[in-house]
Amino acid sequence: MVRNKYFYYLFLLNASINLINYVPRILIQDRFSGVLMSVLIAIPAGAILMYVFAKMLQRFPGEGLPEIFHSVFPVWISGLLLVLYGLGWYFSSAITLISFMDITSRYISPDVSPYIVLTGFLVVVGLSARLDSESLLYALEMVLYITMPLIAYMAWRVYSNPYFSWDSVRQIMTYAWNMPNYRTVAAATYIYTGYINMVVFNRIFRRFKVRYMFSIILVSIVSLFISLFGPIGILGANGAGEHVYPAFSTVDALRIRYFIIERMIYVFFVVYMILSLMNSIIHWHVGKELVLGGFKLEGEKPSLLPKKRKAEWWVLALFAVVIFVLATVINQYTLNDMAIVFLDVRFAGEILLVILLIYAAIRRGRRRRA
Amino acid sequence: MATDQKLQAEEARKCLQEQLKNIGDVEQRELKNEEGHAHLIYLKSMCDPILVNDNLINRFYELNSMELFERFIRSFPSSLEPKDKQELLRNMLRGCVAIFIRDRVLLLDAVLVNAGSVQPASTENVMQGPDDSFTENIEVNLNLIRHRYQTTDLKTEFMTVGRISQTRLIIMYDEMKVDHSVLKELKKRLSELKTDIIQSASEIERHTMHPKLRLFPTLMLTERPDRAVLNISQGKICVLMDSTGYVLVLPAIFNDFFTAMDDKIQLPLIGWFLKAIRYIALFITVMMPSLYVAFTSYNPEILKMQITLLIAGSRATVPYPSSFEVLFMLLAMEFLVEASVRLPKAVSQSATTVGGLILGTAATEAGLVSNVMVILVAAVAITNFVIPITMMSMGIRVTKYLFIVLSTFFGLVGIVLGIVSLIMYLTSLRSFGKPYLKMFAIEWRRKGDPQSG
Amino acid sequence: MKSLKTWYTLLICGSIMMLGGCEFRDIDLRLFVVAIGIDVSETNPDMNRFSFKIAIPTGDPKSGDVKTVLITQESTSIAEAIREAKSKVDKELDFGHCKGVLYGEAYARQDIGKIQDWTVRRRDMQLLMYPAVAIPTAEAVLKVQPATERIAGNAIFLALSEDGTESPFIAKTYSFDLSRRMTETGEDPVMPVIEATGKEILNIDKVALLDKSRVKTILTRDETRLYNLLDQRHLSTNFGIKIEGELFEVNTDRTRSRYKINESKEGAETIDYKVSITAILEEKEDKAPMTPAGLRKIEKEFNKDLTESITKLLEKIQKTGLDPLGFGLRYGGTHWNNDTEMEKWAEIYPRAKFNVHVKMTIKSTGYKR
Repeated sequence: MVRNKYFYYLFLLNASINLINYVPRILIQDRFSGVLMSVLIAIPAGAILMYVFAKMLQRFPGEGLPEIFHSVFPVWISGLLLVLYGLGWYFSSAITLISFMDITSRYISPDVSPYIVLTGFLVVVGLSARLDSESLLYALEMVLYITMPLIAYMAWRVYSNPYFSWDSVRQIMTYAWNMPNYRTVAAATYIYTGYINMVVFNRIFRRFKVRYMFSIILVSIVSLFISLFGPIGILGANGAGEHVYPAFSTVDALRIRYFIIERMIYVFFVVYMILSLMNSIIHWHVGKELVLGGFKLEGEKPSLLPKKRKAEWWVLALFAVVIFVLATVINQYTLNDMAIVFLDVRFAGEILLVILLIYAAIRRGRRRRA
Repeated sequence: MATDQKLQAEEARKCLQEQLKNIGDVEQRELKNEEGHAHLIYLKSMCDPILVNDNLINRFYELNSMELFERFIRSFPSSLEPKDKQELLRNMLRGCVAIFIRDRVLLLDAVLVNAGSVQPASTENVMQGPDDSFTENIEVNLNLIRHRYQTTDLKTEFMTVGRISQTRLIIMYDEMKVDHSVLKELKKRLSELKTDIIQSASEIERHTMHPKLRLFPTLMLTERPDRAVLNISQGKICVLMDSTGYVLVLPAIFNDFFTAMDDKIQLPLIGWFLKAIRYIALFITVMMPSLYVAFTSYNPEILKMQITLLIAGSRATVPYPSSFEVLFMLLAMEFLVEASVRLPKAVSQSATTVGGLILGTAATEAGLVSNVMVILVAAVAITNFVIPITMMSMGIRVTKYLFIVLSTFFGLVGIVLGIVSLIMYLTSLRSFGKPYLKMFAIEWRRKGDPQSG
Repeated sequence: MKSLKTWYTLLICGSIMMLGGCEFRDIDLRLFVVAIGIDVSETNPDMNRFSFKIAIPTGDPKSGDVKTVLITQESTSIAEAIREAKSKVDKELDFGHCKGVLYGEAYARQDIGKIQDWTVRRRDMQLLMYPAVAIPTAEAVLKVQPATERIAGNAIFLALSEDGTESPFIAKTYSFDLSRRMTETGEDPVMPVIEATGKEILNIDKVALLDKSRVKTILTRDETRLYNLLDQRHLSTNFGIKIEGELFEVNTDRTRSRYKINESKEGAETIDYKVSITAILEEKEDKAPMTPAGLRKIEKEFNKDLTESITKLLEKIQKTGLDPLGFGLRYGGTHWNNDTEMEKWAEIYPRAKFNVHVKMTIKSTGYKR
């Protein structure tokens, strides 16, 4: 049983990982056509989704999504939904891992074959995803306490840089009166998506309750501000669009004068590699639990445990193989398109999930009264 | 029928003589006076001769009455009447004197306590703190703890483990503070213990913890009564064991191994500083060698240009890759450490000098090892000794090699992979159900709420 | 829990299997290129002359001698030049520590866009490099071996980064800043100019103004100082003035320049510059002790003098049509008519007037009165 604070960690993890998952790139693509409007819409939209989701989940204390779905839907519908949600959630980590493999071979290890690096990632992620949910949350806490101060420091360095062009930021601000579009809204709401992890982690929360919505919104505004305006201020209103990984190029412009490492990008790389792995581990864990839940292998029931343990290997092996194959066939452009498709589908899927949960809560309430 | 259960003296004596046939240190005394006679059998090596003389032989002649003598013996709380031959024999082997009076057999505890006096701690030194350490005698140890923790809440439960060694254990805990689920779990595991001989406390830890193959200790061994007392007061359980100078403390989490008793003795700010130093040392000792490999072989662009050129310059004559260089030097260091532990004190000094100073200098002069490497190995060795508990520092000594292997194959990426795996591994460990590595782990102790996560 | 046992074993086994795949080059098998120079070729107009300055580490850091090698290669493209240069050395060329791109003056007057794009695109090139214009050629500048240099190839960058010396004549800029200015509408690039004067001395005291890709003007020494005063905060420099034949020198302590684009009257737009300087009196020829009234007088004279020279500089820049201080971007950032603002600005800029207001405060006269 864990306390509420772990919910905020899950949110924070996703909010910080957006830099890897192409969110800044999509936002910057639309910098002259409505990104600010989209962000303005995305912030309340994401916050409301998160709030409603949390409120609904409170009615199912200690239950994960598989238990909830199985109790209100026929087996085949809930099975299908769970498998789809599980795969969708896993797909997010596929994008993180493949793009991080790409980043690694670009910035850090051109000497090592990217597939060996990817194998390393997959082994660590696959084995860690099998651990119990509680351990994962403790590890997450640990990781965040290591990385968050560094991220805050780097963000501060970006904005206090004398070469940071506030005029470029102002220039983008004057483009605020353009129509928003769905794609950018979907990308911007990715900041909030961490709450989806609760569909599995809710099992070990003791009296889950979401509070401090105000600070959650504040943090998300800050992180969107960083991922959008950081690159624009450093790389220029026009120049920001020219980079494949705007966040990395931005941090590459930071210099540490009094340290044994001179370029901030390496600190950034290490921090984000840890976060990416952590994020993938958690996504695989959730994805695995959902898929297994789809086949009625849910929770820690002792009768099912040996069977579940065996099935787990197969699911994780499948996850790993799919990513490995994907990594060999796709290139930079398809990866970007994939990320956009994922972000679009994810937003729709999130809305659907919240609706399903509301429906489940109503059904459950009626049954209890009857 | 009580009388049926009593052992017949004659029969027992015969049986005893049969059993103790080829044992040289058996002593038999025939005591006779006007009233009658008594017979003493005991193991000379196990029994206190003064006790036997004063309490048994002298009294026998003073009292002059069989009736009185028997009553006198029975008045000792440590005397008992064995119910069968096994009990008789077992107690004799433990150090009891068997007394045959009339047709009765009585046993009197006359164990010769052969423990040295309380010695100062040798493996966990502190500055300006209490200096006592546990002795090899369980009673003395009990006394050392009771002396420091004077409350009736301090419970002691006796147990024996080991089929042949019959080692006595005492489980000590504060009833008000202990986590009863941990206590239950401990008793279960101890009762499942199936080994013939248990001689040291670490064997218990090895046999009771899962999984068997671990790098990091999940039970703590301490030789300091003050640490044991502190831990009991924090709701932990101590297991005292006969014939070893160490006490098991459980559950033990990662942070406990980085706590020295000095932290409590010093001012709080200084205590935190010392703790921070230990964690920095942990980071350096684990990471430094692998970072060196990564920086020299894969990512020389990460360090500042000045440092890169310095390393490149000092490595110019080294004929093999950096990972071998690191491994050679680290192994040389491990040999030195091992050698100086095993050697007698007088020799170990010179061994360290020869190995450390001469070898290090000569290797750099010959160009087989870079200067930077020697500094690094020294730093790694020193920081490794900063970790206060030996068991932990051993685990960390091994961990560092895993990181070197990872960085040899993956470079910086491998190190990051290693960090993530290490965090995952440590957080997945449990010490009697308590998460091993956790941020703010102190919390549950203070609040005494085991449920809070 | 069972899986944990296999944790490390699996990782290690996995990596051992990859033993054949692991490939790395140790630090002592790499040569670190610390700077690249680009010049036009004298013989072939299609080719350029590339110079690579390579640092050679010395075994003994105490000896203090530094060794560098300069490899020059004529080639059509830089990628080709690197391939060819590689066959001239025994070790792998590593650009991870490349800290400078020097454009020879003749080359910089053509088009630096191609090379700048290459440096941003290439993975091991930092965005933290220092670009500069070299006079007479990049090769000549790279050949200079300053006597004060302690680490190979470091002298130029210590000066350019202002880690070492802090001169008011150096307009520090980074590769990312250059790239940004090259693409940004309403802000034009600048680069410091390095001059090789003699065998051992490098002189960095001018700034080159570029349009989007080539050098248009090189400002003089004094103009460079004024430019830095306008561009940077807290520039430490000195200003001198002659009042009634007596010389006064002040040392600046804090400086700050701000501007506003004032377009209250259509057709008579002004750019209002406010420069505030806090300074300390450093040199005076007059023997009499300073009085507050005397200080006020000096301040006034300074204000008048600086106002005049700054206005002159701004007008000079305006005449070239360049915008290194980013007036255009400021205009764009404060106007919401996104489609037309830049055309409007193109009209406004040539006719705008400069209103410069300098306010110098001499806060102390040093240790002497």
